[in-house]
Amino acid sequence: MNTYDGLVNDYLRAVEQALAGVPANRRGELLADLSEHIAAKRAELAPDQETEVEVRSILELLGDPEEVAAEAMVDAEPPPPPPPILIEPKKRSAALIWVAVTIAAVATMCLLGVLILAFFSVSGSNTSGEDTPARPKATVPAMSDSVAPTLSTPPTPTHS
Amino acid sequence: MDVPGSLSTALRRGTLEFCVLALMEQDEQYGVELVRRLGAERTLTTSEGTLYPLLARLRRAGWVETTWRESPSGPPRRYYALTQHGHQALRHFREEWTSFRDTVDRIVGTRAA
Repeated sequence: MNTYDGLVNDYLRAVEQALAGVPANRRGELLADLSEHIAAKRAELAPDQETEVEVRSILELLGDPEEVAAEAMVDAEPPPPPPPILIEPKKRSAALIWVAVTIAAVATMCLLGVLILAFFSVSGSNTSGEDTPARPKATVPAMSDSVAPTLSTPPTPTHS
Repeated sequence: MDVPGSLSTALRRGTLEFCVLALMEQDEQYGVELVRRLGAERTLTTSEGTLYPLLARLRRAGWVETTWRESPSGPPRRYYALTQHGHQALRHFREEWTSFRDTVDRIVGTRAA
């Protein structure tokens, strides 16, 4: 607007430099707020009659650029604490792997459990069906195979 | 003691933002006017410029919302108003502050006669 624009730009540039560590969107936000403030205050002054003293006074009331930037840095600090609560993409995939491993482990255990149960129920039904589990199973076929022929051969001579 | 002004800075932290909310509790406030009023309170703030990061934080928190309005002279003006969350936050602060202040006064021995 006039020769004092340079003063304002110098001030805003000083704030911008001091905001080096602040994310770009916040930096832009603060610079926009400050320049709006300066523009509004300059508009209150008599048009085209503002003096250097008046413009400097606006900037002095805004304060030391370093101090203003430091306040924005304080605001930028809070975000770091929340991240531990959020699951980072890396941790997320690690967590998914653990979930998969757990599910696989539980499934294996269940399968083993079912197999063990099935084994016992099969052998259990054998025991309940016959009084002597091992002997009849082993002896009955053995008898029918080896004893029956020997038993059947002797009668043949007696008959003949 | 070690850093000049560190005590007032520490006391401001956590309280100044609620002073800002209280100023716009009844009516929306023109941003520049709000900053001018608070900037004049030397106990509360160091300079007008430091209030803008604070106002930005209140916007991000969803405690205040802003509206642009045409000005009879000069550029459009940004007005600040409390949201429902802002009203709740201020109410909560009032309860906390009262018991906090009473306890500090009792222990430090600054209770008003």
